[in-house]
Amino acid sequence: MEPTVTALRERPGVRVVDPIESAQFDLWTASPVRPMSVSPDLFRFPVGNAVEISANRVVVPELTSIYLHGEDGLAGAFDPSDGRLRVEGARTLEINSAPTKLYLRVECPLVVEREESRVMVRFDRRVDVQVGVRSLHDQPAGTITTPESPEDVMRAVSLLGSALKTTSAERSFPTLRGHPPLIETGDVFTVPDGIERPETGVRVEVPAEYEYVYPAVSLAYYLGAEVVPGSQPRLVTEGGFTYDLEGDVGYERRVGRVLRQVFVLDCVVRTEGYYQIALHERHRLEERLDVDAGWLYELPLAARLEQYLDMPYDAVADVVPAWPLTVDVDPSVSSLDAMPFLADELAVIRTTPDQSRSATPTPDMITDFQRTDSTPDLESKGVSSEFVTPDPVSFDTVGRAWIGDDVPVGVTKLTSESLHRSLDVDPDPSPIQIHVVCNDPAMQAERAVSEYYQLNERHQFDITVHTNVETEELRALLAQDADFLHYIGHVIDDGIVCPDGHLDTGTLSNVSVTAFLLNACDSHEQGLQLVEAGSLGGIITLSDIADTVATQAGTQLARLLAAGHTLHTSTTVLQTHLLSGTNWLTIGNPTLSLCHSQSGNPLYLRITDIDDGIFRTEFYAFVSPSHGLGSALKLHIDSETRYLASSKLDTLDLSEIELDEILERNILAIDYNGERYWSDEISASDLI
Amino acid sequence: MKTTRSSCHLFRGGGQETAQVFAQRLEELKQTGCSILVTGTVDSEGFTEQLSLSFGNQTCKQVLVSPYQLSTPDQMLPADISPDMETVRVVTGEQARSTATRGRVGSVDDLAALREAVLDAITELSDEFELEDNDLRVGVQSLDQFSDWADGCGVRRFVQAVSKYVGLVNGTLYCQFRGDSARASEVLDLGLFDARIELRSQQGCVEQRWHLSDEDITTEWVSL
Repeated sequence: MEPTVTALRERPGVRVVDPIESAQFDLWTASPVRPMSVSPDLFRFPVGNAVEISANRVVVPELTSIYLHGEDGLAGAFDPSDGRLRVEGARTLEINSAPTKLYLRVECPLVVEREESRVMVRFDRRVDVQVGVRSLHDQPAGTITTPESPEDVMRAVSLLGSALKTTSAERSFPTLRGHPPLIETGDVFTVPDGIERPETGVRVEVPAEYEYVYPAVSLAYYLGAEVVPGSQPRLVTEGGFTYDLEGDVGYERRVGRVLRQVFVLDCVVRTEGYYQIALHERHRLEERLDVDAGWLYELPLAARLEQYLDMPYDAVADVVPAWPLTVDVDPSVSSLDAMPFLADELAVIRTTPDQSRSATPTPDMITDFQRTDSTPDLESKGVSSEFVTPDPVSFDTVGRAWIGDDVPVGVTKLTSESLHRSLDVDPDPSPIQIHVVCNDPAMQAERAVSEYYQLNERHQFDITVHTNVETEELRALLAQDADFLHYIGHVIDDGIVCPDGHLDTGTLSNVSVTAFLLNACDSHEQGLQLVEAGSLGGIITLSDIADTVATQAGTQLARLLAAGHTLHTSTTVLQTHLLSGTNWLTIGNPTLSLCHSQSGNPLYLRITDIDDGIFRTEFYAFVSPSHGLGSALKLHIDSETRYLASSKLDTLDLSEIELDEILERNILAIDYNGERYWSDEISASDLI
Repeated sequence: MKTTRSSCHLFRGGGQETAQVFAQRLEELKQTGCSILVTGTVDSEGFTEQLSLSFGNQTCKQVLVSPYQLSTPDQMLPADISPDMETVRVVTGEQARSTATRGRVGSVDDLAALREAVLDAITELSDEFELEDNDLRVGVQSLDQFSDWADGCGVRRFVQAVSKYVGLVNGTLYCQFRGDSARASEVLDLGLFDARIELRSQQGCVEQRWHLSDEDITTEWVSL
C-alpha cells in the first residue's frame, strides 16, 4: 500500500499516487523520464518507495516552500517569496506542498527559483535524481480479522506497529506514525497483504486476558512490539533485557508510565536526527540527567529502549507533555474495534473495574448524622441509573474518555461507531458550513456566536442563523450536510424544544451534521442519539445550567472551536480555565475540530504579573488534528527554542510589543487577575 | 458511643478504633454545628440526591441556596418536604441579583447580595423556630458557579459568613462543589470546612466517602 511513482502520460514528468489517501501529485520535467526503482535506504528520511529519474530540471507545478537537508541536518529553506536560491553540493529537497512526504535527492549544485505560480529546481547538468515518497496517511491500510480469544487478539494487536513509518526516535513525530490497521472479529484470523510487524526486537508478555491486552495496545503499537501470552507482565528485548510491567504501582500505571517515558525520551533524542532543533524538554532533562542523545539516536529501537528504561520514571515525569488522551475501556470484546483508534492517539488505556460488586450500605453513624427517617423515592425524582464516575488519573492528562455502556460523568463518551465514521470523511475544500439555531428569545445574545466562528481568517465560513425553528425544520436541518450545528435553547426529556413542540432525536435515522453543540440543560441523551444517527461528535451538558452561564459557555465554546481546538480540548479549556463546573461533555469522536489553528496548536495564556511594561506570561498549548502529540512548537518569541505541544509550556517575560504580536497572530483566551479576555478584544496596553 | 457492625465496614480491615473516633467526631459536629464540603464528579442528579438526604426530615429547617433560578426546587428537598413549607427557604442567585445585572453572569456584588439573602433566611428561621442542634440544614448547590461571579476571596467570604451564621445556631452547612477536591482547592480554602464528602457514581449508584482532615480519617466508599 505504499505510494507509487510512475511516468506521466500527458506530459514529461512523474505522478506520485498515494492509494491510501487517494491523493496524487505531479512533478514536471523537460523531457520524458523512465522511473526506475531504487532502494528507499538511499534517503536519510523514511520513505515507503523510491525511484530514480534522469533530468536537468524538476518543476513543482505550484508555489511551495522547500526544505534543503544536508548530511548534517537541515541546511536551509526556500520560500517562494525568496525568488531564487543557489545551493552547492549534495542535497535532499523536501517539497512541502505535496500531499505525501516527497523528497528529491541530488548530488550536484542546484538553483531553486520561482517562476510565476511554479517553483523550478534546476541542476547544472542532466543528473540522476532520486525521488522518495512516504504516505502521510491517516487512513488504516486494511482490516485484520481475528477470533475473539485473547490469544488471537494479541496477534492482531502485534500488527498495529505495521503503520509506523520508522523505528527511529523520529516516530515520535505524529507524521511518522500512520494509522494502525483496523481490527474486527471473525471466525478465522486473516491479515491483508502488506500489513507486517516491523522487526523491532521487542516483546510484550502479558496474561492472555483483555484486562492485560488492552492497556498494552498503545505501547505495543509505538514499540512495534509483539504481544504474546506470559504469566507475568513484562517487556523483553532481543538483547535479553527484561522489564517488569507491574512493579510497585500496578500493571496499568506502569504500562502508561513506560509509554510516556519512552515517548518523551524519543522526542529528546530525535533532536540529533533530521531536525536538530533546540528543544526545551531536552534542555530540562540535560540539567538533571547525563543523556548522550547522539549515541542513543544511533541505537536500534530495542537497545535504545533498554537505555531509556534504565532511567527512573521520576527523573522524566515532569518533562512529559500533558497526555492528550486517557481512556477507560470495558475489558470485553466489544471494545476491541476501538483499539486501533486509541493506539493512533497513543492513548493511555485503562480497563474499567469489575462493576459486579455492590456498594457497602450506608452505616448507621452517617444516617444518624443526616437524621433521615426514610430514603427519598429516587425513582420518582428521575435519578438516572446509567451514570458512572471514572476513577481519577494520577498524571497530567488533557482529555479523558470512556468506552462502555454507561454515561461517564466529566469525561468524553467515545463510541467506536463515530470513530469508524470519521474515517469516511473526505477533505472538503468548500467553506465551513455552520447552522446556529436559537430557540429561546431570552438567549438571543448567544446568536453573536456567528461572529466568533468567523474570527479564524484561515478559513471561509458559511454561517446561517435560524430563530424559532420548528420541529420539521430542525429535522431537515439535521439531515442536511453541514459541518456544525450550534443549538441554543432548551432540551427536555421528550426532546429538543421547538416553538411547536419538541424534536426527539431518537426518532432520527439520518443525521448528516458532522458535529454539534447542544447548549441546553441535560442535553446528553438527545446528543447521544444524534451521534447514533450519524453525527461524528458533539458537545452536550449533563445537568441544569443557568441561562446566563449557558450563554457565556456557548460564546466561549464558539471562540475555542474557531481557535482550532478539538471538541474535547475546547470543553477542557472551558472548564479548566474559563468557566468552572463539570457540566459540558464531549461525545462521539473527541478529536474532531472545526478549524485549523493559526499556529498549528491552539494556545492559552495566563498573565501572572505585569511590572514595568513586562508581562510575565504562562503559555499553554494543546494538540490538534494537524499537530498531534510529538509536534514541536515555537512561540515566536525565542527564535531558537521549541516546545513539545501539550499543556503548560513555559513562563516567559514579554514586552508589550511581543505580547501584542502573539495576540494579533492567534485567537486565544488570556487570564489576568482572574479576568478572562480574548485576543481579538484587547491589546497588551489594555491590561496595564 | 457504640459502633455498629456496619460502621466498621467504613474502614479497611474493620477499623474498630477509627470507627469510634469517627462516630465521636460526628456527634461533636452535630452538637456544635459544622460546615461540610461536598465534592465529586457525579452528575447533577447525584448531587441532588446527596442534597436531599442532607436536608434531613420534617423535624429540620431547610435553606436551599442555588446560583440558578430553580424551576423545580422540590427536587432538591426530601420527598416529604415542599419549598412552600414555612420551615423552608429557597434563595437563588437570580432572586438576589439586581435588575441591572439580570441576563449576565453574576458579579461580586451579586454574590454579596446573595450572601445577605441567605443570612436573612437563617435569621428568619431562627427567629421563628426554636432550633435544636443540627436542626438547621443549609445546602448550597453548585458553589463552583460562584467563582465566575467573584474571585477566590469573594467566594471564601461568602462561605465564611454563611458558615458563621449556621454555626451560631449549631446547624449544618453543606456546600456542594461540582468537581474534585483539587479543583475545589483552587477556589476555596478547604480549611474552612470541618469535613468533606466525596461523591462518585458506580453502576448507576451514587457512593460517598467522608474525609475528616483534622483526624486524618477517610472512610471507605459506601452508598449514599
